[in-house]
Amino acid sequence: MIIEVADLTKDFSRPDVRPGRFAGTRSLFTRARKVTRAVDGISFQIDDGELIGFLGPNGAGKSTTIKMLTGILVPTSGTVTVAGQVPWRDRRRNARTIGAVFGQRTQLWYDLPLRNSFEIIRDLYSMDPATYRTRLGEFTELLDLDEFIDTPVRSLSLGQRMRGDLVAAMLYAPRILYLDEPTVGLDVVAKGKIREFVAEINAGRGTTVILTTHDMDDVERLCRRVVIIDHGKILYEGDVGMLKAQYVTSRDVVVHCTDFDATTISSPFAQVVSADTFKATLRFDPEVTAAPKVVHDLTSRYPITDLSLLEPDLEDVIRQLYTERTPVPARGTGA
Amino acid sequence: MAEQVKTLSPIREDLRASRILLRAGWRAAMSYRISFLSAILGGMVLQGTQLLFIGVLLAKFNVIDGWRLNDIAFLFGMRLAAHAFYVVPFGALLSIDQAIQQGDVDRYLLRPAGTYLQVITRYAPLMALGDALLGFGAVAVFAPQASVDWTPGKVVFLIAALVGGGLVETGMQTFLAGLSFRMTSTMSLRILADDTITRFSGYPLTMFSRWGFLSLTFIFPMAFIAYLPATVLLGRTDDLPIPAWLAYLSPAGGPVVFAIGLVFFNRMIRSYTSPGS
Amino acid sequence: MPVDTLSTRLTGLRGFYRAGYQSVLAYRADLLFGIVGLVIQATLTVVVWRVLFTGHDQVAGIGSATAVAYAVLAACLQAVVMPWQFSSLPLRVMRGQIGVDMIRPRSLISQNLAQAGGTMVGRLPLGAAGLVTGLALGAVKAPHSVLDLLVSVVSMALGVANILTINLLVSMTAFWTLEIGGIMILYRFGSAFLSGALIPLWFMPEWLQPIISWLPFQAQIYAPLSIWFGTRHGADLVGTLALQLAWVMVLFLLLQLVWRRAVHRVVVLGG
Ligand SMILES: Nc1ncnc2c1ncn2[C@@H]1O[C@H](COP(=O)(O)OP(=O)(O)O)[C@@H](O)[C@H]1O
Ligand SMILES: [Mg+2]
Repeated sequence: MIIEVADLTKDFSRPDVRPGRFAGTRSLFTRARKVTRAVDGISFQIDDGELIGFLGPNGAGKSTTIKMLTGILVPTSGTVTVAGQVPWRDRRRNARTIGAVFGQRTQLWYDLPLRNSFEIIRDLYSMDPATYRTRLGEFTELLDLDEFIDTPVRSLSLGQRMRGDLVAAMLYAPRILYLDEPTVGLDVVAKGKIREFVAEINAGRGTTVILTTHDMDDVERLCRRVVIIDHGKILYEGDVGMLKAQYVTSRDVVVHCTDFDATTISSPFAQVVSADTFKATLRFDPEVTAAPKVVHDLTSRYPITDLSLLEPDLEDVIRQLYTERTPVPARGTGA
Repeated sequence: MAEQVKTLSPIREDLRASRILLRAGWRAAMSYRISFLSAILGGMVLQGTQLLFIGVLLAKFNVIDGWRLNDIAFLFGMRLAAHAFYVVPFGALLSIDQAIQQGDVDRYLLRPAGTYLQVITRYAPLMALGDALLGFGAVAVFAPQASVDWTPGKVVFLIAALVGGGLVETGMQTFLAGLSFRMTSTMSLRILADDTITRFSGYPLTMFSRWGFLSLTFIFPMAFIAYLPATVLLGRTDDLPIPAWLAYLSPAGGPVVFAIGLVFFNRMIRSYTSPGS
Repeated sequence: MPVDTLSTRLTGLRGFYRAGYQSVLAYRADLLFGIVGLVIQATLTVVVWRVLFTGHDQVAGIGSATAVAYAVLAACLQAVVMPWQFSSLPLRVMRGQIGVDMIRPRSLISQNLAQAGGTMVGRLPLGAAGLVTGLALGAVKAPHSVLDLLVSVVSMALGVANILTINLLVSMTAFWTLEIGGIMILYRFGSAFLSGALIPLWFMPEWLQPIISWLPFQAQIYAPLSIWFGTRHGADLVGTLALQLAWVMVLFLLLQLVWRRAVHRVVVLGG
């Protein structure tokens, strides 16, 4: 267990400004404050070497939680233990254990070339030159840094900057890497590069990774386990596959044909959802009938030219979860 | 690979880190070469207007509260030089509000170096070079003309007083900067402190009446910056409504005020609410 | 296309004026500290001038009461018209928001002037606090006659117009260089000295006086206050007002000129 979170809560308070005439003048004299509970009593644990997805809609409290895990914020109540330390109290020791990338904000030296930022980090974390050189070499290759490593950070594109940030966070080989929306706003190629890199440092180097993202492709490709929160509370914690199984109560099969009218198709195991001359979609409950049985039934009775079984879509599952907003009992937690 | 370093004491680690970060700050400052001259000139003008002010007035009035031009000029010079000991190393403290509002502090909290250290090395305060040029120049010019019989002991006392005075100002500014973790902006508060020090710490402070003087010594400890040590050098400790030994110890006020400011600042970091992202 | 009458123009600008005004009130702590600060500084200033005058009846023909009152009023005026951040223009140029401003249906000059005007109005409480302090210390003197009062108010209005224009002119350096911190400081403290906000021209050395009176800055604070204290009569009085007016017009022309070049720079070079 490398990360343990118990009953973690964070409140923010700010002056309460009521709209209306002379609102500004009045606010000079009021002391009213408004409290927002950004994280509301969450608990979870993360194993060494895991790659966990931390999901939730905007404003759910993901970034706030990550900031408490990294020691940037001090919890209002509850405890966080990371590699045996309380992050905000053992700040310096914690700093060498973790790396963090926040998609919205760079950690690099804005006015200096990317290479200078890496050198400063090398010195700050007292890396020996040989290790630095080999590691930077490997990362440069993985992320194609060559073309922009000597450009000042302020002139980098978002995708380039993000790659730079990732390298800066991993240079000193921390045991844990926090990624808060690292792929937001990036194009497909840049996203792919970043995914590859994250997969490599997790699988290849055993780094524990906590990833927040709105991109379900990121989750499907990288995470086995997810924690989903909303309004500061945990909605689901557990295996991605289990989540789908639990939420996907029906699956669709699409058949194509050329030799007969698809509108005539019917099956004892599945219901026709839509049909035209060349194509029909049928829906079945996988709990009642296994997919191979449906497929066999259809292919044995009709001269079908093509058939596809649609994968349950994580995006849909998540959407459903966010709208219902009821916690799901964890089944088959990876831990 | 970082195993050996963990045994370093935090202070040595910070010294090492400050060297690294300062170099980065200067490198960044140099990437905007045009601003160099105007910044240094700005620093000189900022403090220079005060020198001009006092010069013009004394040309007309000759004495302030029994102090003649040469001694007032020396007192102003001391205050300017002490100020340089604040702005040259700690000048970037001025941008604490931005550091907090833009979330730069996030980054500082994630790195293996002191947060305060990273705040004061945010950028190289070029303007401070102007302050230093003017301040040390003023002391060099006015000290020989002051009514002081210079001995090596007095020179050492002067240097200690200047460094101490700089630390008093730093301590006060550090304390106020700590409030930024709680309040949206403390810029106006810090400018107020800076401006009050700039404009009034170069006068014989006993002229502000007994209570005025005592508040400027014990509540807003501006008297430690230049006036108290100056009374020692000029042999005017009899003017003071406080025991003379306190004036003799005044250079030690710097480390004390600075320590208080720093402890407060570090305590206030816990209240940091990183801006939402 | 809607007709652009004077009244629609003014309504259009009211938004910017209000933005300036509200930005002062939004930072309530800033305003409160500003008030506290002015009270403290006005008090200390009064003491300094009174101590300076001990043993002198008059210096350069000016008595203690006038000098003290001048110092207090100048401090109040300066606090209102010279906020620490006197223009949002440099920041907007730096962040590249200036392009958006230029698309708006009002000229950038009037937008900025309206906003700066709003900021000044928002800072009036500061001036009031300083004035009350001065009154409490018995350090403020009323003008000799109603005429002096009226003329000095007109003169103050011209002084404010002068300051607004120069402030904007200086801010426009942001179009040419990104790091203008040094220039701003140079201007702020240089103008504080040259405008008579720190020391009235009466006390300046003889050789400096003619130089300063040929610069635009003395028309900001020294001119209206010297009228307030009744040191100008007849032709001198009219001449002072005329000079102030002339400066405002010259500065405004200069502003248009500089602005034209700035637009050229933004449009052609992409900012
Ligand atoms: N510094 C802050 N001050 C006040 N409220 C904040 C602050 N940071 C976050 N919040 C609030 O806390 C809630 C959670 O925010 P956040 O953790 O950023 O969500 P997420 O990262 O999941 O989108 C939001 O309602 C947000 O408005
Ligand atoms: Mg977030």
